[in-house]
Amino acid sequence: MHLAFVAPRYGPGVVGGSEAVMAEAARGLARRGHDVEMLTTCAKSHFSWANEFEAGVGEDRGVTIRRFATVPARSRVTATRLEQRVQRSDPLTPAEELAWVNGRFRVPDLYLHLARRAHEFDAIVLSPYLFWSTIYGAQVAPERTIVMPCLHDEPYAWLDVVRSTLSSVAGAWFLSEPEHELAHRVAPALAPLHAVVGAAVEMPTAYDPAGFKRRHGLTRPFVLYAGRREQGKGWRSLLAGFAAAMASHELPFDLVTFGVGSADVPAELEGLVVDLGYLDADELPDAFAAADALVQPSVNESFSRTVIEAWLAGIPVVANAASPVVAWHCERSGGGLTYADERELGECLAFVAAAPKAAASLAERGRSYVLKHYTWDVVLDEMERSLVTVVGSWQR
Amino acid sequence: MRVLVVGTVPPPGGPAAARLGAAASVLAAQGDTVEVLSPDERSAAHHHARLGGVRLAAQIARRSRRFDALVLAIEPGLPLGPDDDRLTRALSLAALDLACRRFRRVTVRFASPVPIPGGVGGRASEGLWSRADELVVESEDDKEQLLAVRGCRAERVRVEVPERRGTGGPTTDWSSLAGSEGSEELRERVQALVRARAAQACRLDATGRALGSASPGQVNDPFAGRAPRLTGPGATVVARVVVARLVREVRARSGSLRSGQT
Repeated sequence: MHLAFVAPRYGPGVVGGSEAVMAEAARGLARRGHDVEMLTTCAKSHFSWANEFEAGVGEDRGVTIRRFATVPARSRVTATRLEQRVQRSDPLTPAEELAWVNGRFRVPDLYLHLARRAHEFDAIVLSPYLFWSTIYGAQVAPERTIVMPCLHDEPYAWLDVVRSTLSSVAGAWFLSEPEHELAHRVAPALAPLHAVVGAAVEMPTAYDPAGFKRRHGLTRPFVLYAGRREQGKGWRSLLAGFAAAMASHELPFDLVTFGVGSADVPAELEGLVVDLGYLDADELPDAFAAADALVQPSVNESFSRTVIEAWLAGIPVVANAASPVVAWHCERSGGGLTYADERELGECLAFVAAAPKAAASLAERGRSYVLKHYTWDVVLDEMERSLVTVVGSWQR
Repeated sequence: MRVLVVGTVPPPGGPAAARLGAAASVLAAQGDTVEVLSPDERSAAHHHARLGGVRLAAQIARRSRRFDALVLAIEPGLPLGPDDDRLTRALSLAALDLACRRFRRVTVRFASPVPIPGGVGGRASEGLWSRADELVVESEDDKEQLLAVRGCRAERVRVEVPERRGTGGPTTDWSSLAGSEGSEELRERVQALVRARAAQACRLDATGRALGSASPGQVNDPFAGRAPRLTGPGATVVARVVVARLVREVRARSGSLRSGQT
């Protein structure tokens, strides 16, 4: 099959769950013999959307990469005002919703390229749901378009423009059952050929936890937070919860973090929180394996790759119970604990410290769960099945 | 007597669920016909339903004809969660008061600390607590809070302190997990322990606050800063509910006077 994957960002230094799934799925399908093109922007940062990569054509592990320059919003003031209204869940007119979509970045060249060549592709896969590239790209050839929304229950998800996008395309790919259920609530007339395909992470060939600790000077046991250090991902609430846990329990742990965004560690936690900054991809498996547990404070998850990476590396997961997706993973696998408040977070960490054998047993269940459901072999099989259905539907 | 027990019972549940389950068993052993309504679909209850907010009152009222007595557990999320606003609080408790009046006997059992945002006080709830035949709390501190409510009488408030570790009660020690590493229920057991220990810590904090060892509204207090004052649109809605209720009562009384009844 000739496939187009359309993602707002791709390449080294890009951090984001949907971007990672798109990149790995594209490369996986290319390995299986499909002709895959990745249509993306020149941006690396999802804050500035500045053009940091060069526009043009390249190749990465069997995938043709076509980059197009982003065009900034016409008025930052309007964009900011609309963003605030969306965050407050104020109703927007259709014109205002489109102005909001246009307010982050636009990629007109990508749209024109897709419009010109859409008929050459058997299927076009777009992700995630809230960006210009997806909202506009979905209108080019909806009959052969699949949206992988990576949906969270957040104000953006309830915009009319999102509902109409999810309803107008041929198919949708969901990463988890709770995301699928949310999509039905968001868009009652959901794309008919939708499927829960899941996602996966690359399987490391080996782990070197001791080497990781040595390289980074980590001498104490630690729990890990991996990903974007942003309020929307629960970073600040984790800092507050960790401070409360350290105040009420004699925990042996540091909190080690890596990823993008400023860690902004408060003075009271200095010496207890270690910020490793951005780590190269080949360091990540060792970082997970070196930790005693992963803490996932984020509510806004459609899959949570870090949880899957942690279980794969053999460590237990302690997650915010308010995230339907992560709570679902934890319950279904039997490999993770959830906390409803700071006290429960403290108790979860106390458990990891006090009962390492039981904690390892939880982690083992998590690993079995990942190997059963979330390897790329399993996920690519699901994606190919869905692609055959979508292609069959428009060719009829 | 036909008794409706409303609250979380095992499995899986934690210590509070175990206590409510035990209370229901005692009633059944006494010869009462007991049915349990639980918000947790996994529990061994006769009925399951979503019971948050005003749904609780609706579910109780719907079943009231079939029962003489009600045993109601006030738990986290039943009927109110920490994020419920004043309007939800006022409406839920006022509706619950009306629903409870349909029973001949009402017992309310409180988890500790009492999981009502803003505390047990306020006009919306005082009718409910003062009319209940029995209020069961888990600590003297909780009892004091209830007695501060207008109309709440001391002889109706009973303190039932949960059994402590080592006295046959549920254990909260991590060492109780030893040997269960390979079991299918490991996660559920750990999760239940986490909740039980967090609840215990919460009770200790409340006691500490009562003794003046810590200031109220600390970082872990989920209800910190949520005063039960009711103003604005919330007050209007509750006022309408109360006025409508009074009008109905006055009409009913005047009707019975006209027909010569007392």
